[in-house]
Amino acid sequence: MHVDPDFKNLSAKALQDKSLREALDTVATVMPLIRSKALAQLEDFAAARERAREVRDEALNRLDYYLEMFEQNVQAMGGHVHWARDDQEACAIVAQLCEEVDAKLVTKSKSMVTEEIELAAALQKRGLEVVETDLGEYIIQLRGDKPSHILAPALHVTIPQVIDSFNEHHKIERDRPLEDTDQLLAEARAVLREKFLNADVGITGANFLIAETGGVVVVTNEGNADLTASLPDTHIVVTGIEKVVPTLDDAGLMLRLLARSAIGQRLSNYTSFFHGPRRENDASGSGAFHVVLVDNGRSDMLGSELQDMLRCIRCSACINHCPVYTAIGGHAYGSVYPGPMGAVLSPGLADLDSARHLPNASTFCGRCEEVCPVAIPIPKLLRYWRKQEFSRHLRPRAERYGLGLWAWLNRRPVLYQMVQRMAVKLLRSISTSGSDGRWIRNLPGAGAGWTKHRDLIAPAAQSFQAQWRKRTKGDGA
Amino acid sequence: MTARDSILKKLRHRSIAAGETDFCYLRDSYSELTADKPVDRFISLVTAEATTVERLADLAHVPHAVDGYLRGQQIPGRVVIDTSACLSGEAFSDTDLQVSIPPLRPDHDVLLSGCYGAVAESGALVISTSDGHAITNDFLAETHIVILFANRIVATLADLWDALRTDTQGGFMPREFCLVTGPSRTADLGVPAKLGAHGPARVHVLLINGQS
Repeated sequence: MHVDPDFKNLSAKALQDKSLREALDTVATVMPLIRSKALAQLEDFAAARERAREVRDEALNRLDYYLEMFEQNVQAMGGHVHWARDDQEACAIVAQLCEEVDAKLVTKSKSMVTEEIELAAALQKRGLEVVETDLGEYIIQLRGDKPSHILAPALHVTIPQVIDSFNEHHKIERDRPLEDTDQLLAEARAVLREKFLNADVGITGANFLIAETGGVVVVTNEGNADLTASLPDTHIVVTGIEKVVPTLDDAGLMLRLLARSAIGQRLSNYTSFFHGPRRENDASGSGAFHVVLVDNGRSDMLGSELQDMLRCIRCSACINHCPVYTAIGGHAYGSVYPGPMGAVLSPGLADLDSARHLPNASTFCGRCEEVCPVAIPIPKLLRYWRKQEFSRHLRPRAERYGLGLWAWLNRRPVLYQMVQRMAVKLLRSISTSGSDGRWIRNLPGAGAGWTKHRDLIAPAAQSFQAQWRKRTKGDGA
Repeated sequence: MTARDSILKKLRHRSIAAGETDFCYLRDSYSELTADKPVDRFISLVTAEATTVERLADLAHVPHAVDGYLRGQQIPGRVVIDTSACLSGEAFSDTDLQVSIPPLRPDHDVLLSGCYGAVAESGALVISTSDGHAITNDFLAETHIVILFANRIVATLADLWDALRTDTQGGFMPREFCLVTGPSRTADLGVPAKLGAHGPARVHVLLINGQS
């Protein structure tokens, strides 16, 4: 997986983007409200969450067993299961399957794993026409852009920008110019309907794989996954090896939490269960059914400190509740997986060198863990990456030496207090008096980054320890 | 070594609880408040998702109900009748409706079909490819009118899994089944969500009180 290492510049740029900030403000205010309202419908969210954690742990603790069971069941129904160690193997398998049926046009429903392995680009390179069918993802594709949220990929795109893209790419005679969202929807529906009906291969992701039945579960609100899966003669599912759950009952439990956590819905509008290719008495459906199971770094996380992250069901609750994500948006992370979940996943699936800023892009407020429907201890996992970053000497040298010096000083209390007294004197000497105490208005050097935007309160003339000593003496203790 | 073998070998090596298990089967024990009145619960939840519901005494009332619904919505009275509706064209002879059999066409995009059942807990219809139902049409229609028998509404998802397991008797699950809460929708053009993204813009349920 590829991660853009330039988090600092990307996030600084995002903070200046006014329309992005407006869209993110909506996420930050609306999403937590509708989520908590939807979860309140459950008799006992805490119990459901605990059971969901158990179900995911059971699947991960015996991942080989459940994947083989899933594979056997898919094969028994006449489907095929393919295994890919990395992104290149996965893309090659899909390309080969497309070639075998002499495909020209491929429809795709939204899938984060296909984004992760950059499947669309790989297929286009081989001359295939690849059309994204989720409306947000389609808009992103027309604009040559990247998703900025795992559920609402076009969150950052404004309506006038969508109008521009449609005008540029749709070769349609219109009786009046595109103006409102009703027209945009009608046009997208008509254009994409043609693609659905003419596609040779349909590619979907999977929200869950069911070991018990060999089933593939895909949820959408638009219904595009069903048209992608059932209209072409070949359906290819591309998904991660961690998506398996043992039984239908387990899938039901996860579904109960997924849409509520994600978008405040009881259930997504369409929750589809696919089981193999078309059968003798079936009136519709794809003739060939393939599942590509992608590892791409996941097996390295299994059995390690990071295994808890593999429980993730990609609901995006942590993203919607993150004060950092809702300030800078998804593109700043430079990864297809943004926000807290992305900050844990990206260094694992790509490498720590390019993704090292992401685990630091957190205030450790802990909301991500609190809202996670499978109770992933995200702050703990972010801390794991921070430790790795430090021990692999990836932090800036000045910071390393600074921390070393501080640690050295801390182990020498007398010296520490002497230095502290000097620092207090120095800071108070550059502070000015205000109506509410003393404030530092201008710090030199790196400190200017703070005082450019806000004042820093000056330290008290005497330290807590000095005051304490004075007080206990005064009491005669 | 093939990719399959090398991945599985690695998983076996790294898995915490290696080896086979007695398949962790635990019936989902969720009950919510659906146990007593699944039909009422279903109606109240599905209508909250922009689906409309009309209760009918029996199947014979369907043709007039379809006619009345389409007039009310000012939709031309051309209806494609799927075999799952269990109604022949003759049943519509005393209405003004033009009826035909699948496929749907651009000017002929009202679909009348049956369904597998519904889940009260989720407020969702269950459509399925079992019994040769061409489920794809359910996603292509502009207006989808669905016949649902009240006795096919189960309380929870766990009840649906039980019903499917009983039907398939240890065999394969239907090739596709889908839980549908209402019209196709998208939030990609802003909030509130717009209806009729790729699938139906209208879903109308004819709820038959009798037995299927």
